[in-house]
Amino acid sequence: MGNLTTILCAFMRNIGGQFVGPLPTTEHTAALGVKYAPQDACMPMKIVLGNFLEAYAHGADTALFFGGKGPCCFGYFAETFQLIFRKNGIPMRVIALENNAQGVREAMQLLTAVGKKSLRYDASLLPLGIKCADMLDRYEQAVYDKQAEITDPAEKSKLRIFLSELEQKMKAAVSLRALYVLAKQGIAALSDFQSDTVPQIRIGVVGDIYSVIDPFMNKNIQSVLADMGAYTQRSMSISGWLDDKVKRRRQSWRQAADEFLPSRVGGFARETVGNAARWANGGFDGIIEIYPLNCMPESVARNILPKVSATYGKPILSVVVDEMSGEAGYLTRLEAFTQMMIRKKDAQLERAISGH
Amino acid sequence: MNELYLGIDVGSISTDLVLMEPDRTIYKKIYLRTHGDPISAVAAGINRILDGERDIKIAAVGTTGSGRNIAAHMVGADVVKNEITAHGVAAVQAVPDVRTVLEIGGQDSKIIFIENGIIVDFNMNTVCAAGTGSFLDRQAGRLGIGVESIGELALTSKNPCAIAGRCAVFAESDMIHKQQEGSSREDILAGLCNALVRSYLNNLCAGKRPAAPVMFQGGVAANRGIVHAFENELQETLIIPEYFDVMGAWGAAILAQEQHKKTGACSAFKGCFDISGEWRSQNKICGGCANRCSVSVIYLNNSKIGRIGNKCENTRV
Repeated sequence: MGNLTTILCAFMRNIGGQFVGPLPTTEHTAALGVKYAPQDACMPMKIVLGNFLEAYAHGADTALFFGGKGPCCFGYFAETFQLIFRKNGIPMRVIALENNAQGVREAMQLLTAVGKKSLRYDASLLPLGIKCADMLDRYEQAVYDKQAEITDPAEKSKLRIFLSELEQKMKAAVSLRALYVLAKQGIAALSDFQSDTVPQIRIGVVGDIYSVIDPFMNKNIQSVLADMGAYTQRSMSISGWLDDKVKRRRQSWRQAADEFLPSRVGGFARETVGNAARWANGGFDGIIEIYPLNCMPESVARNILPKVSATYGKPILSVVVDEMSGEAGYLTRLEAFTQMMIRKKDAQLERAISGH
Repeated sequence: MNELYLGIDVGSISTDLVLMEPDRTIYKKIYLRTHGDPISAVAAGINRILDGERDIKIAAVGTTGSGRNIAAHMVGADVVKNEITAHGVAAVQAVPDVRTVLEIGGQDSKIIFIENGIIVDFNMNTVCAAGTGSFLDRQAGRLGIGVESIGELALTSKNPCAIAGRCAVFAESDMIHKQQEGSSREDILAGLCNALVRSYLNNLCAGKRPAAPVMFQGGVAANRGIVHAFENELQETLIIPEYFDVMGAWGAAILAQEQHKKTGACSAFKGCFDISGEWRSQNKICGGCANRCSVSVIYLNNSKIGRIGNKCENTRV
């Protein structure tokens, strides 16, 4: 799931566990997941299942996945994966990582037993991981901002090559500390690239955590929007989630969500509605909701968003993502949405200049 | 010499071309069936629209529609824009105070909300193609009639059937069910028109009321059964513009003109096609990195002239 994969790989190298990864999520991954998962399961579940099956093909025998109550059917993923593996005769064991210090220790013990070697886990790795997530999220935001500020094709291509090299290094980072340093250096290095424009519009991207964070799932939405000339911000990030759930820092979307969706309906519906409302009310020109087909909480949110849109007079677009790989319809919607806002701004400017 | 702007709209069902005068009136238009082969359709369209025109100069070219990228590579386009912007711009040109545009094309249906000549919101069908041109085409084929006659037949119905419009597969099973119960073809078709309109409004309006004046454009606007059902449901008279079937292409031409005025640049237009040239496109998996993106490569006489779908500079196909 987006940069979480990079963090977990660095973490595994830290503790000295043998692991397979990171494997890129591709159409083949999705096809594998679709083949083995229940048809009505959501796309994130199918992709994660596909990831594990690919890892199995590369020699993995144990899958480490989050457990807990889960915000939605996510809580049952670990169990479901185990059942699917068993049913299909795949000798893969699933270890569920519970969302607390004790859960982490237990998972480490299980991993030690599986790997038949002691792991170098110590409690300081958890805060280090959180710091790392924070820096990586800041790095990604800085990258999208920079990308939106460059229109010159040569400069853009220079930036892309730099980013892809840096990201290869991050994926191979030997420890969390090394990853942290790479991300920090990455942010600093961005100033070497020449900005030549100031995007006129700002778009908020909301939706469930997997779809918003994972670039395969959302077809690289923030990068696509940046190339179309928009600043973007996403509602979910690993660091934001940790802030809210682990550090218990109450975030401002909660208050905004209370007005439209006061009760919890599972998943990230309140985050989606709350962030959409907060952003539509302040400074953003439009909101895009990424909606994975048959995600129950997001379908609730999706039906509330028109009310948010009417309240603050800002357009909100819901785009559906599913196993369909054709991008034409998706890109058309994103382009139409950004063009609409840019043309609106242009017209406002013209009217202001002509003095009406 | 007459300076004209060329707009091309390559859709799933039709490929439309428009030559536009500097004052934005339409000089010439062509409506062709794409027949699943956008490359031949664009080549044929260009040759036909330029046929016999000696005294003109193309000042700028715009492409739109789902095949806009392939068309842009082929003809040398100056502007490549999505169909929402193109349709909205053309609608405002036709009726300056328009507030709502209903557009039903081959594969997409959309609604565009306009205030003071500017698009302020829009919506497109999400995942199901019920109600779009290709679905109507298929149903007409199944009933053994031309898609053009659906509307006329539907209007003669006295007692429209109830048909489910939410999903193309449900609608088809419902139609077959009614047909096997002995309902008349007219009643089934009228029921279908009503169902599609209801589901369109339900799916796309998202609680917003389409404000008048309401325009209806796209190929399906020729279907009087659908028009009648819309008017019934909205209690408004729909405006169907004269060039309802080529509004996307007209919009693309207008956008090309806008850009031309801004930059003054020379057009990238390549001119008439050597029809004997062999155009083809091939889908390949890029081997540049581990992401394995699927990329379409376009060839003219076996030499590579462009790529669609590549996401970075490392593309290797």
